[in-house]
Amino acid sequence: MGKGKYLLGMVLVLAVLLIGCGGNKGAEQKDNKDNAQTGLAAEQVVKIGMGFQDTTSMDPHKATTTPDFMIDKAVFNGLVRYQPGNVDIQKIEGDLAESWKLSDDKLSYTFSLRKGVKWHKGLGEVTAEDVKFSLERILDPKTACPDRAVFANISKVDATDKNTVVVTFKKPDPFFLINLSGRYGFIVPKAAVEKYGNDFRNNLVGSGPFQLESYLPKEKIVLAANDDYFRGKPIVRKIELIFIPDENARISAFLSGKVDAADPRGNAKEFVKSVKEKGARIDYIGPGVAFYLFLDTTMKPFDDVRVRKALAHAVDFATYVKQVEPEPGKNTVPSVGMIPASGTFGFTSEGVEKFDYNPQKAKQLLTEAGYPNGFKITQQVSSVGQWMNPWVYIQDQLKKNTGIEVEIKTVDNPTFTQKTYAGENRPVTLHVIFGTPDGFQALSPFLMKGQARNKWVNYDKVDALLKQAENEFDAQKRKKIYEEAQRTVSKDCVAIPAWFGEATLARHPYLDLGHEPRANFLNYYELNEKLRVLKH
Amino acid sequence: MSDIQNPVLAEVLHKEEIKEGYFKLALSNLRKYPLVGISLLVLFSLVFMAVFAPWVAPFDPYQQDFVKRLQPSGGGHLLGTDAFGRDLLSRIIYGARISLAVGLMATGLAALIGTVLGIISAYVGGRFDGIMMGIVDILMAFPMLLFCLLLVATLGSSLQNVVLAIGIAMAPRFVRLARAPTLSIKEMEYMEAARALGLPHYRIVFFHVLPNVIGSLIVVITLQVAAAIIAEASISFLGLGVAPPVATWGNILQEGVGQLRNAPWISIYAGTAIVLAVLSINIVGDALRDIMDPKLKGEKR
Repeated sequence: MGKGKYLLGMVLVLAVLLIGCGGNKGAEQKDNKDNAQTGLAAEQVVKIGMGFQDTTSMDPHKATTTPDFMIDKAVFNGLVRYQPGNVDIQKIEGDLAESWKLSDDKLSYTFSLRKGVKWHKGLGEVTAEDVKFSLERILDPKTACPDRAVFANISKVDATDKNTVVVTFKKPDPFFLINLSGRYGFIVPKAAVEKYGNDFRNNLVGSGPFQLESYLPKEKIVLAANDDYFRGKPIVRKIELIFIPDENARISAFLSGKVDAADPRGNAKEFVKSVKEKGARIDYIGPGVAFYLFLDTTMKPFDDVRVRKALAHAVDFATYVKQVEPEPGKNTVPSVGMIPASGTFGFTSEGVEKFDYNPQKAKQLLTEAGYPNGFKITQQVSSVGQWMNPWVYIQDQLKKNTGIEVEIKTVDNPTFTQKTYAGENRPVTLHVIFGTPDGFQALSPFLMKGQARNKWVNYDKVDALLKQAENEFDAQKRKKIYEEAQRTVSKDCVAIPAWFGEATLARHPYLDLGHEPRANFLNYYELNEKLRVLKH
Repeated sequence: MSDIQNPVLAEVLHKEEIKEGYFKLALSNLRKYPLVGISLLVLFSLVFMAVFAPWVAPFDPYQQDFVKRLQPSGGGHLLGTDAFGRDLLSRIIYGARISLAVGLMATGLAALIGTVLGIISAYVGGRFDGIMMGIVDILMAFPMLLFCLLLVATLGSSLQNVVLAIGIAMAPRFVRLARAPTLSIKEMEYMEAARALGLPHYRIVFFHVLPNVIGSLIVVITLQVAAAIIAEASISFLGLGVAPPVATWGNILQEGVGQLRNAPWISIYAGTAIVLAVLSINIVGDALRDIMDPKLKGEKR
C-alpha cells in the first residue's frame, strides 16, 4: 500500500509538471498555428552567417565595421531614416521624429518626437533629453565618433519640452537630415549610457525592433524581438548572427540550410555560382563601393599629368571585373569619374574624361614624359584577397605594358589600413570611395584641403567649388557643382577608376525582408519588424 | 679476414673494409627496400626540376592570362591554371627552386651555426657550456614553427629573412647533436696524450671530433631539410613569406585555399609536391641512418 501511494504521488507530480509546461506551449502553439495559416514558417528564427571574425564596437557612436552597423540598425532608431530598401535623399522619412521644421533663417531644425516610444528592458520612454544627450555625445571628442566632423556644424541642442528638440547650427547645413539618416545618427538612452559607461557596447539598450539578448565574442550575437516596438510587434522572434570567417565553411553552412543568409568575402563570383545552383536569391545592395588608384599629384613622377594618364591607360580593368565579379554589367560597372555609383545624387558621366585600356598610348605617354623603360614603385599590401588579388593583377599589367615595376610587401590587414591612411603607399594608393546618398560625402574626403584622405592626391583645384556646395540647400545647384568637379578632376586624372561593386549577399528564398533591398548604408541586410520566414 | 701480421697493413685493410661495407650496405638496402630507390628517383627529379626550371617549365610562371583563369588540366596546361591564369605546372616547378633552396640553405645555416657552437661549448666546458645548454633548452622548448613566425614577423618577410629565421630556429638541434661526440672525445685518454704532445686545439677538433660528428650530422641534416621545407611552406601559407608574384609551394597552397570549392586542384597539386619532397627526403634519410648506424656503433660486416 505504501508503494502504491508513492507511485500515485509521482504520477501527480509528473502530471502537474506536464500541465505547467503545456500551458506555455499553448501560447506558442497558437502563434505557430497563426503562422501556418498565413504561409509563414512555424519557427520564426533567422540565422545569418557573417563573413567576419567579430564586431568591433556595437556602440552606435563608435561603430566601424559592417556587423556593428547592421546590429545598430536593428537595435536603435534615429530621428529620421531612409525608406527601407533605398537611400533616396528626397524620400527621407521620420523615425523617432514625427515631423520637423527648418527655421526661416535656415539655422535651426525643430523636431517633434513621437510619443510613447519605449526603450528596451523597461527603461522608460524616449524623450527629448535622450535626443539631446545622443547628439551631444556624438559631438564630444571623448566619444571619438568616426563621423564627428560631419556634425561639427551643430552649435547647440535644446530639449524645449518632453517631445521637442531644437538643433541650432553655426552655418546653414543642407546635409543634416542626410547625416542623421546615416551610420551614426542613432539615439541612445541617457540613463543606460550613464549607467554602463564604456560597457554600453556590450549592454545595448535601444528603441528598435530587436534588442540585444546575448553576445558571445567571435561566435555569435543573438537579437530578440522587441514586442513593444512602435511600428508593431516583429514577426521574427529571434535573430542569430553567427560569425563564420572561413569562406568554405560559410558557403557549406548556407547550402546545407544551417544559415538563412550569407555574404561572400573573397570570391564573389564563385560564391554566387555555388549558391545560385541551389536556388538562392542574390541581392546586390547599393550604393556600392568603387576602387580607385589615387595618384599624388605632387610626387615625382606623378606630378606629370602624362604619367598619370599613362597609368590610366595601362591596366585592363574591364577584363578583371568581367572575370572576377559575379554578374558583370548587372551591378558592376567600370566607374567613370570620382563619384562612384550611378545611384549617387550628383553623378554624371557627361564631359567626364574616360581613359580606355590602351597599352600603346600608355607607353607613348610615358616615353614623352621621359620614362621609356618605366620606373619602380613599392606598395605595402594587405594579405587579404580583396586587396592582394587586384595588386597582383595590376603588378602584372604594368610590368607587361609599360615596364613599371611594382614591388609588393605583404603586411597584415590592420597594418595595411594604418599605413594606407598615413599616406605611406603614395604616390599610388589603391583604395575605395563609398557610394553615398549625396555626392558631397563622396568627393569631400579626398578633394577638400585638410581632409584626411586629401593627402593621397594633394590636389586642391576643386576645393573652392566644393566649399560652395557645403552651404547650398538647392539640390539642383549642388548637382551642377558636383558635375563640374567631376569633369575637372577627370581631366587632371587624379584618381583612376578601377572598378565598382555593390554589396553581394545571398539568402534562401524563404527569407522575406519585407522590402526590396536595393540600397542601404549597411553593406548588409536591413533587419526590421517586417522580416519574416516563409514556409519552406 | 686474414691474419696479417703487419699491424699498419691490418689497420689500412680494416679501413678499406669499412668503406666497402658502406657501399655494400647501401646496395643491399636498395635491393631489399625498393621504396628507397623510388624515393631517390623522386628526389633526384625534384632537384633536377628545380635546377633546370627555365628549361623544364612549359610556361613563364608569372605570365597571367586572365581570361583563362581557374581552368582544370587541358589546353596546354598540364595541371591547369590558377586564379590569375598562370600555368600551375610551371609555378610548381619554379616553386621547387625556392622550397628546395630554402630547405637546403636554412638547414645548412642551422648545421653550421649549431655544430660550431656545439663543439665550442662542449670543448670549452664549464659555466659557458652550462649557460649555452640552458639557452638551447629554452629555445628547443619553443615550437619551431612559432619561433620561425616570430622571427619573420620581426625581421620582415623576404627570402633571406625566411632562410635566416628557419636557420636560427633549427640551430639548437645541431648544437645538441655536435656536443655529445665532442664531450666523449674530450674524455678519451688519447686526448690527454695528444695535448701533452702539444697538439693544437684546431687539429683535435678537425681530425678527431669532426669525423665522429659527421656521421650523425649527415643523417640529421637530411631529415631536417624536410622540416625546413615544411616550415617554409607554412610561413608562405600564412602570407609571411616571399612576396607575390614569386611562386613557392606555400604561396600556391594558400592561393588555392581561397578557390577550394571551384578549383581544388591548385591546392592539391601544390600540397602533393610538398608531400612528395618531404616523404622522399624522409625515406632516403631513414635509409641513410640505417647504413650509418651499424658503422657508428663500430660493427663490422
